[in-house]
Amino acid sequence: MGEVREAPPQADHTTRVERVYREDGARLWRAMVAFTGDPDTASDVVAEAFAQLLHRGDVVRSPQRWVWRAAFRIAAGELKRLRQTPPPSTQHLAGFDEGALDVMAALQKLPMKQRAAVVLRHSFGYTPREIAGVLRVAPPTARVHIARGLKKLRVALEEDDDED
Amino acid sequence: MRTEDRLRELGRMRAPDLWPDIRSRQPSEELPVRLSRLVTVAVALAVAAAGLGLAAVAFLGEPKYRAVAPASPTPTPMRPAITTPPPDPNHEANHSDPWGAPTALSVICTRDGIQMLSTEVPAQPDGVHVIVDNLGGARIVHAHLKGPPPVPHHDRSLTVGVRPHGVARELAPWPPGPVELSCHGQEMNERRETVHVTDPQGLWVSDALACRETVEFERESFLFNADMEAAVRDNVRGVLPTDEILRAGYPHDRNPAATALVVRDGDPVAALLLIYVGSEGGWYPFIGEICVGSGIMGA
Repeated sequence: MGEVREAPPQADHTTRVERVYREDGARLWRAMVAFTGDPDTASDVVAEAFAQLLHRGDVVRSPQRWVWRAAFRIAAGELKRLRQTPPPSTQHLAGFDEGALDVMAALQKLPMKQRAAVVLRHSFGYTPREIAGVLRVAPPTARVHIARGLKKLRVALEEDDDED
Repeated sequence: MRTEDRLRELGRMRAPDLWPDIRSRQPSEELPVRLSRLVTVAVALAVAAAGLGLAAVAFLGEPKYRAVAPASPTPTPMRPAITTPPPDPNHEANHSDPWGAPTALSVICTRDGIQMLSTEVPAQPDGVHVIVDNLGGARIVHAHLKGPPPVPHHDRSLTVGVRPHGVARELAPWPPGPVELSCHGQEMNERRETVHVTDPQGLWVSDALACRETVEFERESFLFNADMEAAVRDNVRGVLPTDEILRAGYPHDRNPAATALVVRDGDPVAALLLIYVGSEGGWYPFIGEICVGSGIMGA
């Protein structure tokens, strides 16, 4: 999210949104996979966030930032809903290597904000200030989420290694 | 491998192309801009009140009413307060929020309750713009005003309409300050979240009166006028030619019920609720409060 390149003003809204999608869609999807631990949920969340961006027309002035924020919000709601239903089958994770699966499983043990902060910081290189913007918290709070999340993740991964 | 390196690996997964799915989720038509249900209710109330009033006049025979010929088929907004700067057409471009805070509040209603994509929204000349995505079958979004009462006779709980499924764009007359919102529907979590309405353009005009002792406005005449200021001057005795008539709330509010302030030497001395009756082509003062000692309506 560091380099924000806006489409020229003459480009219509759909073109502008598609450009944002081409620039950020894959990264956002990966972040959502790491955040939700489920590629299908990630695909649904990303598609929903971009679809909402399309519906909103030009009222959104920073679509790139808006869609990241929206995706995390939608994903958080989706995760709360999924908690009340049986866990999904892990069949759809067959294409992922074991190391990635371990990290994703360990990430699910973190509280949502810590998980989002760790993923954004260490998988995508966001600054604490940018993370603060996505999570709607103060930058020092974002730093705390990153540090605590990483510490918990290390413990969770070590526990997994010990179990193996 | 270090935890940080393992996390970095996650950033290299191959992502699917979701663009066709995104496009297929888009509705084929641009969604219409709707006025809030509050407006609909206000119109209904206004028409009902006018009907009752006219019926009472017909049966009781007093006082003598005169309907002014309509000068305009739609409500004419009063001129904004002179202390209010005119709306800045370049407001969007001038906005300096580095995160690009939207001029509309985005609300999502899900079964788990309300989600808001921002905690702050700047008021616009016609009110607060709200976009409601109804993903959970909500029937309505409630707004609970946390600050002092905004405008006389406005309920502190103001609703925003929703579409059964999809996106609704609404205008809300919420004053600057904190507002608690909640989505309401069957088996829906009705928890509240707070949004702060800001007023960077100084649009909001408070209706607070400059006195403690007031009397209720008692209508003596029933003169409709397409111009709100004229409707006040025609119907309210004791308003001086030098008094200024201002509209409280937001200057371009499209609600057909509006509060007019009578301002004398800079002090608001009367607040009157006017309603617009389409069939009569004009506004008339319905109820209100007047400062004792102002001489208005003998007070």
